[in-house]
Amino acid sequence: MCPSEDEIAGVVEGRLPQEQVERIHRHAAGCSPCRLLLALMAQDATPPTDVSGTSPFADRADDARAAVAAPEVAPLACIGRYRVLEHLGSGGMGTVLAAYDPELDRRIALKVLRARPGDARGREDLQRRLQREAQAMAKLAHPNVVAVHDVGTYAGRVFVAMEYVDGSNLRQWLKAAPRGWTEIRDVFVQAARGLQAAHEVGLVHRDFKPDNVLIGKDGRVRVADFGLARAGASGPPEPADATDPEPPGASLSPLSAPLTRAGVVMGTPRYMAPEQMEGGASDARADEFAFAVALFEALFMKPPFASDDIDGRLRSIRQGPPEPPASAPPVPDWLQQVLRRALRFEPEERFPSMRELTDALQVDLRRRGVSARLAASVAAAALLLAGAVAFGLERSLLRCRGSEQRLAGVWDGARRAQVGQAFLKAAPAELGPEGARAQLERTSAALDAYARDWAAMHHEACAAARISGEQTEAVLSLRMACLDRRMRELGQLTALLAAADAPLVDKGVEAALGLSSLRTCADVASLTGRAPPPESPAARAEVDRLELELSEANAVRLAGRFAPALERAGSALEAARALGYRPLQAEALYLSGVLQEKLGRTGEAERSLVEATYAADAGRDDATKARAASRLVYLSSLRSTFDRGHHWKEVASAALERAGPDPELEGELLNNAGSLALAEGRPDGALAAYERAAKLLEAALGREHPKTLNAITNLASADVALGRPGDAVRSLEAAIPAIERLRGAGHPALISSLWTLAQAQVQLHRLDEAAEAADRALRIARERLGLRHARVAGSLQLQATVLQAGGQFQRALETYREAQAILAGAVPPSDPELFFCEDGIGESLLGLGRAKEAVPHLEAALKLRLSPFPERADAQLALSRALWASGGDRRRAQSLAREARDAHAAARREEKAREANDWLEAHFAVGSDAVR
Amino acid sequence: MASAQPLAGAFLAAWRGERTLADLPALEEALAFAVELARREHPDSMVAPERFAAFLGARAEAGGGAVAALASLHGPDLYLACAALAGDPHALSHLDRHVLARAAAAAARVDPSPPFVEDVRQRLRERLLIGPAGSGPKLAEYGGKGTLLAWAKVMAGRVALNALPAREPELPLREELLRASGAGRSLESEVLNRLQSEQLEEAMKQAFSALDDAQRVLLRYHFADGLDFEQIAALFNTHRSTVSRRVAAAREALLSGTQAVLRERHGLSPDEISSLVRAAQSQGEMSIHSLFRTRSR
Repeated sequence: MCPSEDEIAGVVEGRLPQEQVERIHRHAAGCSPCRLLLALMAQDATPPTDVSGTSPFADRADDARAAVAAPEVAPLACIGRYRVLEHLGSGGMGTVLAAYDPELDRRIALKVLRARPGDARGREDLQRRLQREAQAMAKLAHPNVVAVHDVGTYAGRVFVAMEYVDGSNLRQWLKAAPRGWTEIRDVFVQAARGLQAAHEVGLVHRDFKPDNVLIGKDGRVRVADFGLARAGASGPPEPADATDPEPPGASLSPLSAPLTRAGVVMGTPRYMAPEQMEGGASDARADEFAFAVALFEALFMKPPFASDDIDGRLRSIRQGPPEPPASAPPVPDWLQQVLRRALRFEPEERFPSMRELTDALQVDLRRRGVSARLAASVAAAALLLAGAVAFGLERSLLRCRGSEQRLAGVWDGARRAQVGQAFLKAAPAELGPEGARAQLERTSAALDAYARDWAAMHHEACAAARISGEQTEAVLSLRMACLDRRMRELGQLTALLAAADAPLVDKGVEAALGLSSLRTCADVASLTGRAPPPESPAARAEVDRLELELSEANAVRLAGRFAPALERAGSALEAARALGYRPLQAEALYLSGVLQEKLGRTGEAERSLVEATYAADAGRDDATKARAASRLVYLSSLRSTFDRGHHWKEVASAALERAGPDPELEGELLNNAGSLALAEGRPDGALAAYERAAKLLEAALGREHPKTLNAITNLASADVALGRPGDAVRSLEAAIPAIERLRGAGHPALISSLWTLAQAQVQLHRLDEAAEAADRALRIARERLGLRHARVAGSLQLQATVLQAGGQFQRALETYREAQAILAGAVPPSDPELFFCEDGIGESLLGLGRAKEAVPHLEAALKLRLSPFPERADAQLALSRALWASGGDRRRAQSLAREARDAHAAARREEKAREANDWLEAHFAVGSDAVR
Repeated sequence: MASAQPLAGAFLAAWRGERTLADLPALEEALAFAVELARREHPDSMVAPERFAAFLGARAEAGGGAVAALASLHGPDLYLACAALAGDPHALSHLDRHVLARAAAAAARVDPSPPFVEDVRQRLRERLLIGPAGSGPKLAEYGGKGTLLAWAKVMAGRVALNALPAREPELPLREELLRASGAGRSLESEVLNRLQSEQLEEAMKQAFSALDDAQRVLLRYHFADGLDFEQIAALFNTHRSTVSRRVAAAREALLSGTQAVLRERHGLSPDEISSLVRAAQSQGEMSIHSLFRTRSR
């Protein structure tokens, strides 16, 4: 049976189990309607790069309409190693095909030159000549020249494989809309640079015309078909140097315009230089002439020379170009001067080379007192900031240099000095000047590393598109926009650090290390996989603005200013909703959710994050979906909504699978899954998750990174929960010095590791070491966070635990009470943290023999922790003892002890389970508890 | 109970899963949230919350808890579907402009002419909102596990492909074979006389049908349907490099299978095979129509 629409959509959305996916494809193997449907959907979901909606289906549609004659070469045929996809057009020179290069997995254009009479030797000559030119072209690799990849023969015909440009040619571009002279000039300047670059390596075009100038959708102009004019010409073998004077006749292009001295004009040799028409020697200055004819035509919408026959045409060239028609659009005088010179009859009277012509075309920019170069680099900077590809903008000056300079004002000497002053001034007194300086150095080092990586990636992105041509302009602009957002985030963070207060001094390193990953800016698949931004330039600009706004809001978050960050994220979200651009909504929702969680508004956080997954789904942003779902896993552990937690874990891993390998994100997800398992009372599950999380994060970020160290500390707490204190101590003895190196010896980030260490030492009955760790945690918390901070209470609890373990019940009781008093002022009365105080007070009282007083505290404790936490079982057993000792409800005491024993047994805490069992056996009839 | 948790009640009445009373408050909360989220997305379309809850219940997965089942549904999209099925004019207009129009645009890959796309859109409207006689509107079948747009695109794809005359794009595998085995041997006319190119095709057909389903469909996706590795990888939920490996393996299997047939059936030696291949190549036929067409349908 054919799969349902829902199943097919599921395959495309990647949400079906693998076996079901395989089954559907096996079905498709024998059912072509289903297979074609799947293929169609696949093409819709991931259009091949740099292609505007073409597919083999187009051929079928053509057949159906019988509108287009069959192309010369059938689609899907192979030419050399290339597979023909589509017939793009036929011209004087031959046929142009869109083809696919399976070896490099890219789309190319194939120009198959027209078959011509001639023997095999002639063909070989031609091929050799083209081969040589292709090599020269390959060396050229200029952004304004169409790249030639390969030359070969097929069925006796020569073909050239070249870069596929998605866009239009100059003739079409000029026709598409009225263009002002500056716009036209800018496009021609780019073409001139292409010609100039070719001339500099000894290549002359010889058939420059608007049809040979391609304008990509990215706005980049490229000149095509160098040397092909001659390639199509029949003539004697090619001289070795392309700039050598050629024998008469060799330079003529019989393909575009066979022209004879007899005065018979065929076609329109409208761009040909007089020396070419006369069949004499021609060089780069012939291209200059052709270029000027094309520019004249573009500006005045009329050709400069009448061309009835060759002699008449030569005559009119000799007379010089006519005055522009009165009806023509306005063009400045100086530009007309430039044209007149380039259109001189004698090559010697024209500009000496394309370089001078190119400069002359931009003389107005210099005249205004702004050098062309500066104007271009300002434009380039504006382009980068806007993240948009502006049409006709001078792009070739946007070189792959100066990546570091872009960080001026973001993270440079001046900013560094400001941050330094701020740190030394604002550092908490306990830190001392030494500590403040150390903190500054660590923070600066992290920012330096980020800035260095940023500059390297900026250069690499530029080079990949501009120098090696591995990536397209469209990809470049996505990567640049991404890098631009990172730069904005960095700039915002350094600005905040330059006005740092005491808490921010402490957070500096973590904030710097928390800056958004640069790696994602190199992830072309995910950058191009997202839903494309809206078409309209205004909406696009708004998207860019909001992306940058979100980057800044994220920096504000990193600096620990959660409320203002949330406000900014919220207003960006409003605007993103109004725009209807889903990936942006997803990002804004994600950031809002994270911030709401930080602010303790977990209900709102959940809503935002759930909505973020929907928006990310609709916007095809798998990474954001994975991040949001991963955060929901953690949130579920906080909110004890374990079912949902598991659901989100599945969602996150599926999204992650689709987004492609991202060890950092995967590590974070595992870390959150560990927290979920721990909260659920499955420490063994938590241990496994944390272990993998720590490995992945260490590989991705290094060991001395807050995220890695956090996972290691978590791993240790799972060890403690599983009663494996030895392992915990080993992990922590490595992690704690690393945290000290990273953040300073008195940093609050140490507190939770110290707690876990204290717990582990208690389990090992090494009470002195345990007390030392708890004392240190308490000291740090009091000094750095204030006397009534929740972490002070937590440290007191640990201290009390150690005291209790040492039998000092009275001091333990007092310490627990102190902790409870602090905590009561810091958290809501139902906070699970209060469990430890109530439980501790109860157990201390029990230790002091005050069982009756202990009962209400233990009862209260059990109400605070409903989930099967190991400590809950301890509290149950304590309550059981207290009830027994105070003459309370014995049946209840028995059932509590059984529950405790079973909970311990289920979690494989054998020692504890045995303890509970021993107590049961000692106090209740043996055998009565044999059955649950 | 029903009045205290009206949404949960409506949901559970329509749900096929096993209900537990303990779920009720959490389910009610989750449903209220789903309604709120959906209304935020579609503020103009009005559906009674109970009705929407029942709509969700009818579509939620039966296994597992009700809340988890609910969490995996695309609420806002289902809300739109629910409202449109109820005839809400805002929902219908939103569906038409934002979902059907974009879904039909996906069919433009089949035929980009505006009349064709418009026709697809019209047929989509009929199918989704009226439906074939006796079975009712297809929109009711949207289950909410994926986005409505993705589902509608599949519908549009079906409609568009049905509108075309059936034709199987042929596999240009012969070229693959020629390319892979055409190492320099001189042409031997004797071999050419013994074996015509139809026999080569016949051998390839045989070898192709001997491949397993997975290999056949992979070759067709790649060579006949023109999907690149990235696109196939997305379909198989795997990585591009895996696809590239599998395609290479399938091609290899086809080529060696073809050569095996030639060897066994016609007793050709490896040298003769490559001569034959070269001979066929020199005839210069680029596209063999009707090759493998028999395998379709």
